[in-house]
Amino acid sequence: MSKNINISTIFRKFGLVIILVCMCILVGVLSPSFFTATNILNVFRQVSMNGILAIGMTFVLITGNIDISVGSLVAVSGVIVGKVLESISGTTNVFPAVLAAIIVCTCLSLISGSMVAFFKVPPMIATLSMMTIARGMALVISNGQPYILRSKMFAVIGKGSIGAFPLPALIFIVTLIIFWVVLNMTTFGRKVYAVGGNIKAATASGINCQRVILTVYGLMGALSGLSGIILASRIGSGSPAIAEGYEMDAIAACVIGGTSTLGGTGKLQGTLLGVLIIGLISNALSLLNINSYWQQIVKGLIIAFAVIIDTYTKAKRG
Amino acid sequence: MKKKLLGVVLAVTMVVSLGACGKSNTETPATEPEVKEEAAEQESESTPKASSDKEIVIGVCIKTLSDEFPRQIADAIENAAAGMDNVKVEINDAQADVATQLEQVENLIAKGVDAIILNPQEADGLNTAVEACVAAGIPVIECNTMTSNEDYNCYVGSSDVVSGRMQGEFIKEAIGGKGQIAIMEGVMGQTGQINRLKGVYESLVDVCPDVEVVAEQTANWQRDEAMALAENWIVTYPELKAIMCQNDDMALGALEAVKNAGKQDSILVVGVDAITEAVEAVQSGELACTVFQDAVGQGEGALNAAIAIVNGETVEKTIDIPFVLVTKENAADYL
Amino acid sequence: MAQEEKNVPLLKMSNIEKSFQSVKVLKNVKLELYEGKVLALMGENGAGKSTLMNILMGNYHMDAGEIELEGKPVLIQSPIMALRLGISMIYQELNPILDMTIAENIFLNRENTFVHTNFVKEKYVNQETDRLLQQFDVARKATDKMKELSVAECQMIEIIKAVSYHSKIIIMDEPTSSLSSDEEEKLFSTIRDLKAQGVGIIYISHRMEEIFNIADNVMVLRDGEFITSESIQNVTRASLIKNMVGRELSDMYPKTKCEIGETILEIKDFNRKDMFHNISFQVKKGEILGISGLVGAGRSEVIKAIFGLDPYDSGQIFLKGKEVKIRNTQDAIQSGIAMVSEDRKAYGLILCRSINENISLAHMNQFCKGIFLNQKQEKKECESIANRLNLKRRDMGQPTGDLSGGNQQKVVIAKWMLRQPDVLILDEPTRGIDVGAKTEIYSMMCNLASKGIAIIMISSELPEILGMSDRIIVMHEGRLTGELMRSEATQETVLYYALGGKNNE
Repeated sequence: MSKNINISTIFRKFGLVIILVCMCILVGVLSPSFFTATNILNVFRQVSMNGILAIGMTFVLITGNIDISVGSLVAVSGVIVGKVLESISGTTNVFPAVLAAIIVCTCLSLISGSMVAFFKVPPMIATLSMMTIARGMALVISNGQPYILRSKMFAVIGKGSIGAFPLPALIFIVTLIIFWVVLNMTTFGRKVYAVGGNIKAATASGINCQRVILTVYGLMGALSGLSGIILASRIGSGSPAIAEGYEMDAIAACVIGGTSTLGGTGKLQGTLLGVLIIGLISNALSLLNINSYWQQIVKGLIIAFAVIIDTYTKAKRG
Repeated sequence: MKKKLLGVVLAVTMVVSLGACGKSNTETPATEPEVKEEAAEQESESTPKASSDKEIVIGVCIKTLSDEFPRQIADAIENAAAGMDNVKVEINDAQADVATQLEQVENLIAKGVDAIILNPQEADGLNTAVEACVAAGIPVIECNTMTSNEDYNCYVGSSDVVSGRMQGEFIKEAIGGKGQIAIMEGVMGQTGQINRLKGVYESLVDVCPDVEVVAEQTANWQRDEAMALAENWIVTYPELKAIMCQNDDMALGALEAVKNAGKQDSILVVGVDAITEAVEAVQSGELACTVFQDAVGQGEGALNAAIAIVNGETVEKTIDIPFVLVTKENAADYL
Repeated sequence: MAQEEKNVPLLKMSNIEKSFQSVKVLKNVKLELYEGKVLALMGENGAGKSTLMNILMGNYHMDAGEIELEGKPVLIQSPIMALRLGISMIYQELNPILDMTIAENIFLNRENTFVHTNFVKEKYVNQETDRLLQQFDVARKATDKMKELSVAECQMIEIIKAVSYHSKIIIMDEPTSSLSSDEEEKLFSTIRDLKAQGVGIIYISHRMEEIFNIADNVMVLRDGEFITSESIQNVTRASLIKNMVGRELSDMYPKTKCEIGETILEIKDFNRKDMFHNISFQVKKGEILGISGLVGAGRSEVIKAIFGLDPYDSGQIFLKGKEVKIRNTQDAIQSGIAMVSEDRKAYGLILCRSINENISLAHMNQFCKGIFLNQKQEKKECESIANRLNLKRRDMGQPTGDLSGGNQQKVVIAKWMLRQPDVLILDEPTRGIDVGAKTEIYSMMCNLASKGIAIIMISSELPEILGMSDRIIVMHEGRLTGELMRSEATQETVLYYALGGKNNE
C-alpha cells in the first residue's frame, strides 16, 4: 500500500521528467545519432525560440489570459530587424535593430494587454485581432518581400555559440532563469498568480490587477520580439510570412508543463519540460524518418498523451 | 502659408496617385475603354464571330494576388494585353478562396466575356466553374495549375514533374549516380509536392540503384522548419550527398544548416522557383541549382491561346512553357 | 412522540457508512423522518451533514447501510432517481442559469410537465410559475431573467423550485443564509403549509432561533457519528450546543468591554444613485459598530464603496480627522482600512493558492528585500498569525480551497492581521461557519477591538448584532433609519428600524 503511494507520488512529481527520459531512451535506441553532442545541441538550438515564447505564455496563462498573436509578433520582429538593418547598412552595430524590434513588439502586445485589462475584451478576441493586425503590419513594412539579412554581427545571435553551446539556447536559459526568479521570488510573481487565481479577491487585497495584466502582456511582447530576432538571425532572413502557428506550440508547451488555461497555477520548470518534449518530438520524428503524413498525428497524440498522464496523476491526489 | 498649401496639395496628390497605382493592376484597364466597349458590343451582335479588329474581352481569374508567382502571371497577362490595342482583360483576385473564385467565374459568364483564363485555386473545387463555362460556350484557358475536369480548351503551364526531373538529372550528374540523398517536401498533398517528388523519382531514384533516399520529409515550404529539419539530417546521415528541396525558401533554410555544419563542400542543396535570394546564392556557388519557372511565359502563353481560340484558331490542348535550370553559369540572367 | 414511533417513518436511513480515501466521514449513522414533520439536522461544519444529504440525493454512493422510503428499501443512485422517488433538495450553493428566465429555471428539464411533447409550452410554464411566485409573494414575473434577481430572490426561486416538484421529502440546506427576516417568515409559513400536506422536511441550519421556531425534532451529528435525535421540546440551546461541539459553551458572544477612544473613521453624506443616500456615521477606536438591516438595504454597497471596491457618487471619508480620497482598494489599504467580504470565495480567497500566499497577499511589500520577497520571514509571520487564530491546516503550503469554511474565514482575517489596520470591516463574518469557529471569530473580534482597532460588522443575524456590537446602526432601502447603543438595542427596536421606522417618530 505504502509502496504504491510512493510510486504514484514520484510519478506525480516527476511524471513529465519520466516521460521525457523515456522518450530520450526510446529515440536513442532507435536512432544512434540521437545521443551525439551535435544532435543534443541542435535540439537546444531548435527549441530556444519556442522556449522563449513559452516563458511569456506561461505568465499570460497564469493570469488566466491567453495570447495567440505571438506568431505574428515574431514575424513583425524579424521584419523590423530587416528594415532597420537595411536603413543603417554599412555599420556593424546591430543594437538599434534589436532594440527597435523588441520595442515595437512590446508596444503591440501592450495594446492587446490594454484591450484585455481596460476594455475587458476577451483575451482570445483581443489577441486574435492583434494577430491579424501584426501580420498585416509585417506585410506592409516589408511589402511582402522577405529582407535578406547580410549583417555578420547579426548572424551571431542565432548562429553563434559559446564554446560548443549554441547562443540561442544560452539566451533561452538565461531568460528562463530570470523569469523563474521573477515568478517565484518577487512580489510581482505572487501578483501574477493571485490575479489568475481570483481577480476579484486580488483586487480586494489591494492589487492593481490591470497593471499586472498589462505588464504580463508587455513581457510577452518583449519575449516575442526576442524570439523573432533569434529566428531571423538563424535563418538569415526577416520574412513576414514566417512563424505562423508558433503560438500553438508555445501554448502546448505550457499546457504539457502543467499550466492551467484557467489561470492561477503553473510552473516554469514544467514549461521547460513541455518545450523540450515538443522539441524532442520534432527531432525524433525527423531522425527516425517517420512518414510526413504520420508526423502530425504522432505529434498530436504525444501531446494529448503527456497531458492526460499529467492531469490523471494530479487528479488522483484530490 | 503658400508653401503649406503646396505641401498639402502635394500630399493629397501623392495619396491619390498611390491609390491609383494600387488599383491600376485591376481596374484601370476595366474602366478606360468603356465607350469603345459599347461600340464593340453593338457590332458583335451583328457579327457573332469576332474578327481581328474587334475588341476581345478576356476575364482572368487568379487564385491570389498576394503570392509572388500568381501575381507575376497576372502582371504578365496585363502587360501583354496593354500592348495589344483590341484586347481588354479583367483581372479578378480570388484571395485564395475557392468559393470566391467560383463566384468570379460565374460573374464573368454573366457578363458575357469572350474567354476566361483560369488560374484555379484548387484542382477539384473549380470543376464546377469549368462546367459552367462549357455550358455557356465560353472557352476556358487554364494557366499554371489544372482542374481535374479536363473539359477546358487549353492548359498553359509547366509541369511540376518536369521541375523535379530537372533537379534529379542535375543531382544525378553531380553526385555521379550514387550516394545518399534527402528530399525535403512542401505541404503534403499539394500538387507541387506530389509532382515534383514524382519527377525526382523518375529521373534519379528509379534509374540509379546506387542512390539511396535516406529521408523524405516535409518542411511545409517554410524556411525555419527546413533549417531545423536539415540540422537533424546532417547529424543522422553523415554520408549525405544532397538535399533536394521542393522550393527555394526551404533550400535557403537547408543551406543555412549546411553552412553552419561546415558541410558546404560535401552536401549539395537544390531548390525550385528561382527567387532572387536563391539565384544570388546559386551565383555565389552556395546553392547548387534552382529551377526557373517562367511566369511571364505562362501568362503571355495563356493570353495568346485565349485570343487564338476566340479568333477561331485551333490550339494545342496542352501548351508547355519550359522550365529553365539555373546554375552558376546562367544565374546572372535571372537576377 | 411515542405515537410517532409506531408509524412507519417516511424516510429511514440506517447504518450509513461512507469513507473518502480511507477517511471515515460517516460512521453507522441513522436518520428517521416522519410525515408532516420538520427534522432539524445539526452539527458543526464537517460533521457529515452534507455528506449524508448527498447520499440521500444520490450524489454520493454509500459504502454500507440501508435507505427505506415508507418502509420499502430503495437504492438511490442519482439525483434524478431521488427526484423521481419524491426527494428534492435546496442546495446551499445556488446555481441558477443566469441567462434563463425564472420559469425556465424552475422547470428546467421538466418543460413537458404540462403537455407531453418535447415542445416547450411556454405559456403553461409561465402561468404556473406566476402562480407559484404569487403564492410565495415574490414580486417578479415568470419571464424575468435570473441575473436581474438578488441573492435572496434567487434563494426564494430555489425554494419554489423544490416545492414545485411536489416532493414527499424536501431537504433544505441553510435556506435562510441570504434571506431577510421578512422572506424568512414567508419561508416558514411555506414550511408550515408543506407540513400540513404531509411533506417531511430535513432542515439544516446553524441558526438556533430558526431551529426552535420551525423544527419538530432535532438530530445531531458530530464527527460523522450519530449523537442524538430528540423532540424539540426536550432540548435547550445549551444542550444542543453541547451535543454539537461536545463541550459546554458558556457564552456564544464573549463580548468584553474595552476602552472606546477617539473617532477613527467618519463617513459624511455618502451617496450612490439607486444604492444608498446620505449615509453618515463614525466609528471609534476599540468600538464594534454593528450595521443591521434587511438583505438589500444597501449595507454591503456602502462598505464596498468605503473600501474602494465599488464606486460612490459623492461624500467624504475622514480617517483620524483627515479627509482621505479612496479611489481603489490600494488607497483604502494604504489608509489602514481592511475588509472581510461577505462572499469569501469571490472576494476573500484565491482558492487554488496556498494559505501562506493568501495571508501575505495584501501586505507583500512588508517582506520585500529589494525586488525580492523574503519568503522565510513571510512564512514565519504568516505561520505565527495562523497559530494565533488556531487555523487548522496540514501545512502552510496547502491550498486554501481544501480548508473548511471556518478555517477559510480565518485565513481571510489573518490576511488583515499581518499589518494591524485602523479599521476592520467585517461583512457577515460568520456566514456558513459552524458554532465552534463562530465563537473563535467572536473572541478574536473582541481581542482586536481591545488593541484599538475600530470594527464595523455587518450581520443579518440579529443575536450576533445584539451580542457583539457596542453600537448599532440600521439601514433600510439605502438610508440610515436608526442608531442604537448596546444598552438600548433589542430585537424589536432593531427590527423596527430595519423595516423602515423613522428615527424621530
